[in-house]
Amino acid sequence: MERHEMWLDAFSDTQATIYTFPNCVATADLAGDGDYRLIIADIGTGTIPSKLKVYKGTGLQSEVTLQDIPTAVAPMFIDNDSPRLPVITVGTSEYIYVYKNLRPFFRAVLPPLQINSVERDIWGQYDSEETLFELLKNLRSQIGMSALTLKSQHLLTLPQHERHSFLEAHKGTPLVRKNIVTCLSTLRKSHNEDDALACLVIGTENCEIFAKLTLSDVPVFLSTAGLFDIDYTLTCTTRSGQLLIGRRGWVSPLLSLSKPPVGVVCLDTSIIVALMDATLNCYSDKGCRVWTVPVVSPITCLYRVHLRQRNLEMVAVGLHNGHVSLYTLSGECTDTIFFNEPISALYFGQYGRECSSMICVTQGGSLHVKILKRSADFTPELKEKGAGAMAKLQIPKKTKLFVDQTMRERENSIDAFRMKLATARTLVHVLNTKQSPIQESVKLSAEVLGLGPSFVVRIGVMNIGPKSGAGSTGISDLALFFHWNDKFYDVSPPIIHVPFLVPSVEVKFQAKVESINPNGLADVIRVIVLRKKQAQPILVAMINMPPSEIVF
Amino acid sequence: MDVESNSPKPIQTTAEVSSAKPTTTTTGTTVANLKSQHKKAELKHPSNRNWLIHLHYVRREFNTCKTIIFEELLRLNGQSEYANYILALIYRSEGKMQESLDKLQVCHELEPTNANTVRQIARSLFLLGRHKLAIDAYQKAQLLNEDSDAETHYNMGMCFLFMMDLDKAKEHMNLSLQSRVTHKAFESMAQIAIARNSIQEAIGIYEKAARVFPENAEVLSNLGVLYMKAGRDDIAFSRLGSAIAFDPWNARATVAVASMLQTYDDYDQALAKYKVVMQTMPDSASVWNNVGMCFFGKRKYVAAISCLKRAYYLSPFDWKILHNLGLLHLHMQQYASAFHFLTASINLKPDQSHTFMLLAVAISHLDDVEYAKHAYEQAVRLNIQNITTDPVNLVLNYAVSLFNHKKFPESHQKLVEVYNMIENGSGVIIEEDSKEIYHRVKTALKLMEFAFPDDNDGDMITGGVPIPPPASQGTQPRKRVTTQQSVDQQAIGNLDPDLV
Repeated sequence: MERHEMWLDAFSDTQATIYTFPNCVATADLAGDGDYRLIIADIGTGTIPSKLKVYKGTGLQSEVTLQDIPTAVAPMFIDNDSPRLPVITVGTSEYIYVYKNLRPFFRAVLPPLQINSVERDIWGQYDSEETLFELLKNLRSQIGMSALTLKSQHLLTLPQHERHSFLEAHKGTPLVRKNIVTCLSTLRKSHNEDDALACLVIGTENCEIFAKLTLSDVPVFLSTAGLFDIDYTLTCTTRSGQLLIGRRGWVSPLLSLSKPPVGVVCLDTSIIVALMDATLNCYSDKGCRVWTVPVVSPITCLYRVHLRQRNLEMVAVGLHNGHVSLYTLSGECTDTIFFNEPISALYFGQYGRECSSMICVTQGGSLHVKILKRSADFTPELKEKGAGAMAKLQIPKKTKLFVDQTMRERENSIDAFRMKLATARTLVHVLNTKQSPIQESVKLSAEVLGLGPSFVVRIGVMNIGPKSGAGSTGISDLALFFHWNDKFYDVSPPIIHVPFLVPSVEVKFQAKVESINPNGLADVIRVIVLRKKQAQPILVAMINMPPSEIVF
Repeated sequence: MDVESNSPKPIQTTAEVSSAKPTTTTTGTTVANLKSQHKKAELKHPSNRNWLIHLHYVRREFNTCKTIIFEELLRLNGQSEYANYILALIYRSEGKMQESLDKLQVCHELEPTNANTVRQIARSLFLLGRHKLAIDAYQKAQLLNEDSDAETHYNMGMCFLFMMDLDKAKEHMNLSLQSRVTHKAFESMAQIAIARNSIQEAIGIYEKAARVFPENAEVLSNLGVLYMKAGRDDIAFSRLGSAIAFDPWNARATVAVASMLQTYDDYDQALAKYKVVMQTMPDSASVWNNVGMCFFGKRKYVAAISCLKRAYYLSPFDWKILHNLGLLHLHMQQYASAFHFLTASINLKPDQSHTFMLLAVAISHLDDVEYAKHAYEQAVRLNIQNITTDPVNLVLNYAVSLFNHKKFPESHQKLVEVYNMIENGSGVIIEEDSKEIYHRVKTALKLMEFAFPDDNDGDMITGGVPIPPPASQGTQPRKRVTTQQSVDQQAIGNLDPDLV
């Protein structure tokens, strides 16, 4: 079935050099003119600082340098003023920066954590650096590194010679335990509208979510539903692969995933999770697995695709091999978009004036924006269910030769079975009758001249003794003897005496052969080399005679 | 003004900001001032890039992940717990077990209260084959984490299983099941039962598992196969059927059903099932072997030979495939080839009387009666130790071969032996065609005036016409049946390594 391309290429920038994650991509109507801007928090690398980039239409509108690497961005409305202008919130280590009109507006710091009383005492009462260090080290082995204050943690990591200068430099700094943002999400406050007031939900390194929930593990992905003032549900996954559901004041583990999740999409009644082992899983809100679909390559990101006009929900899956596949909620793949690099971040939502745009950032840093065609058809392809039964069994074919061989074996199975025996016997026979020139000192060559009925057989004899070099000896007392069927031929002379043979010199003899067969049929004449007074022949050669001309 | 609000909830922050809105520009400068103030004193949080490491790790971008980890370790003098932890996991996936273990030890030193680290150390020890140490580590992890953990118990059970301490293993699997039911724990329990040679117990465990996980094709197919081994074909069939219903591509269940159908001579259905299996595992020698024997059953000998040759190519040292090839060539009257395959089979597995019997038939056709006799004697000897061949068929074949080689007195003697077996052994079931051949040989011998104990019933004599000597190939259909049974068992037994 031919499928039409469902996406239009709106804009792509292969030189964008963006290094980001799905959490750091969003769109928002920043100017209040209905033209949605694309907000990307670029993590930056080494020499390149982290930046907040805002794209408008087909170009970069502005850039703001960030203090630290951003964890997540979330545009939200924080006031009721008109025109409705959202702010951008950026989570970086312990701060939440809020930007309004792309200018820094304020920052909020996460509340510091409680300090261990023993640690406070140690810092208050120490007399020398050595004892301080030792005491902190002991404390660490009791409560662990992460339960200490920043100052202690830094001190403990330093080698001995740097400790003094560190203590001097930070004499006055208070003891604090800071918290780190790991994920952000927004939750609307009291109205379920696009531009309603919202508040932030923050997941931290200290295993907490800032709606006053304490978890057992560090949250990674967070998504929300409902309204803060009325009732809400938080769904979050942790680093060890637990899926948690939280409501006001309580949180409970829903299920343990077999592998850490790569992405989570929460829908009304189901949760779709992409796992590290390249599978897409759908769980019901009761925690039962509904389906599992394996994908071809490791998954890098997952994003919810919501088509409002059609009331259609899907998920987009970015893969390591550069594919972006769209799956329906029943786990059927409806479309795949191909890119030539691993996908790094995906976003689907309004961009510019187009409400169904797919924004895709690849690992190499290029940015692509695609717009969904109005005519796009998301009917899943029919699965060839009966494929297994329909497929033909590939039985290796047999040739006619195989059948012929079978027939031959059937007829001659006993011979075949005794092949080895027969071979051995033949070999013995050949050896006994000296038909093969094994270790012979004489070489024989023969040629037949003439068309018949009279032929001349010319025979060359050469001494090729074992030491056919300088020291070899000559051979004497040889004779050539002809053996023929007297119904076919008449040979004269029947015996030829060979004179003394010098090594490596060929001596030629002739014999006259008369065909006496009236039909000119051919036969074999044997030449036997004999040594005088010895019954065993030295060598036997067979001459296949040609058919003879017939004399009328 | 102080805008750095230490609000416990972001909502409150929002509210405060709303009130502070008129001074937007000054706020901007305040932020800048604050930054410069903090510049010299601000200590970077040691774990502020953990989330980045984690995201790269789960996306399997291990190289990028490692670069970041090394940067972090450099910054913190190697004292970052999470960076070390992820590095250990990456090393483990790269097969560097010892390095992984070392990194985990560092993690444990930094965070001695983290049970997860201890569990991962145990896992590393387990993978390194140091089961005893792994068990100690798991016990430590349990002390750190109060709530009874199914996973830890399961892993400890696996350690004990590898140490062949079946009782302890079972105990821990039970504990694991008590805190959380997983089909993996059930599976291990069944494995323990099978290791103790009690199939009934294993069936009981799988039945329980099937009640908890009624839609798990894996459990159902294992259960079906166990029922097959226990000889309860009816139940096995229904279990395997439901396994296939839940997972139509489950190779194990499909092969088991197909071989069962094959046993009941429903070759077309069996072939249809094998076709499905072939899609998922096109190079399983056992499946090709069974397909070959299906064609053999349908008397499509060329196809059968093709399939068996493929199986032989895939697994040249499997005596059963060689045995079947030998049998097939006997049928094709290719006695020399049959001889070769059967000898090869015997070289691999010299204690099968059935192979010797087939070899004897082959040699007898190759006109070497002395060796045929040797082979028959060996077959009889082996069959006494371990009955795998129907003794009536064996001796009857012996008699027929002797008869064909005109060794009438000896043939007579063997036939009397057959007669005694039929008369004495009440439980011996003799197939129709064997009986017919027996009577034919007997009649022929009677004409040569050999006496039989039951001489008085002379109804079998067919006048004065000498009956043509019975051809030995007439005896072969009986062998086919027995062979296929052995083939079927093999198919399942052999599939285990493929599927695990």
